[in-house]
Amino acid sequence: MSLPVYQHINVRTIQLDDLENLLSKNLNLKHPVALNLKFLDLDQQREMIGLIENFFQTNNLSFKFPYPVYLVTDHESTITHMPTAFDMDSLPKFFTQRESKMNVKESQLISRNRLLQQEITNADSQSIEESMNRYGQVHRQIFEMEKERLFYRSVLNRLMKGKYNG
Amino acid sequence: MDKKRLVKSLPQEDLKGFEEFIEGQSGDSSFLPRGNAQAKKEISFEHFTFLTNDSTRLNKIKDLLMDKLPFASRYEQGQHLISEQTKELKLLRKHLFEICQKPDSGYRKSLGEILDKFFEPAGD
Repeated sequence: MSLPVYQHINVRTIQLDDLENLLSKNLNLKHPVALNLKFLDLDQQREMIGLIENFFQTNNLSFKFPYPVYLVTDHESTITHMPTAFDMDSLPKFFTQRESKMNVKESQLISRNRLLQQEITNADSQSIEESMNRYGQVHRQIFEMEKERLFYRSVLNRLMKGKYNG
Repeated sequence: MDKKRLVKSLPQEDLKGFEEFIEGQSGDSSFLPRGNAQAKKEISFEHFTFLTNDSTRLNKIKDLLMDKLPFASRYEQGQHLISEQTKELKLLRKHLFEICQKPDSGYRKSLGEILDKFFEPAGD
């Protein structure tokens, strides 16, 4: 058993066979993954990002949970839905821990977390993604409408105040 | 604290009767905590905290995926809230226009002042 710290994977080619070896269904089951695409040139990086996204989509897997999969790339984050970073140092620090021998208490905690990880992985990622997007979209609209309502209400209050003050 | 420093820092009167006891104490006591052991303890505590935080994170994700999202999509309130907001906005807009449309409204007065300032009425 090991701590859920980053597993760094260096992607050096865009061959499909190599990709099959790199990506598996349990890729982010036990730890977060950082796929370093910096060894490829810009066009190859873009192509690889598409292939990786496609892998998660076709296998109905999520790159967000149980642990996130980060792409270390020179491209801007807007070209993909996956979380990206420009270098290894800019990855979230939460999962950066020193590896060392664990005591009994920590091992017990890890095995308890294993159950949670498995449970989260079994969820239907595609339908979850859809319902999350739908929920977000509707509530963003409600937020905008509420902002408009508050604006009208403040204008109305000022007008009424002016009317009473003459 | 160092034995010599302790002896120097305290007044001589306070040390009366303890001289032999102080002399008898060994300089490097085995009861003192060792630096290495302390560091080890800190590291394991650090890992335990990290694992506890991770467990909390996983629990929150599980709750979101298994309970909150299915509940939210089964009892969807978004569309109802949007229609309520639309009605409210319509009402507020209507009310605002009614106030602003009155001949003695502040809006008309201000607009009149601005227009008079730029296009002064003839005869002034």
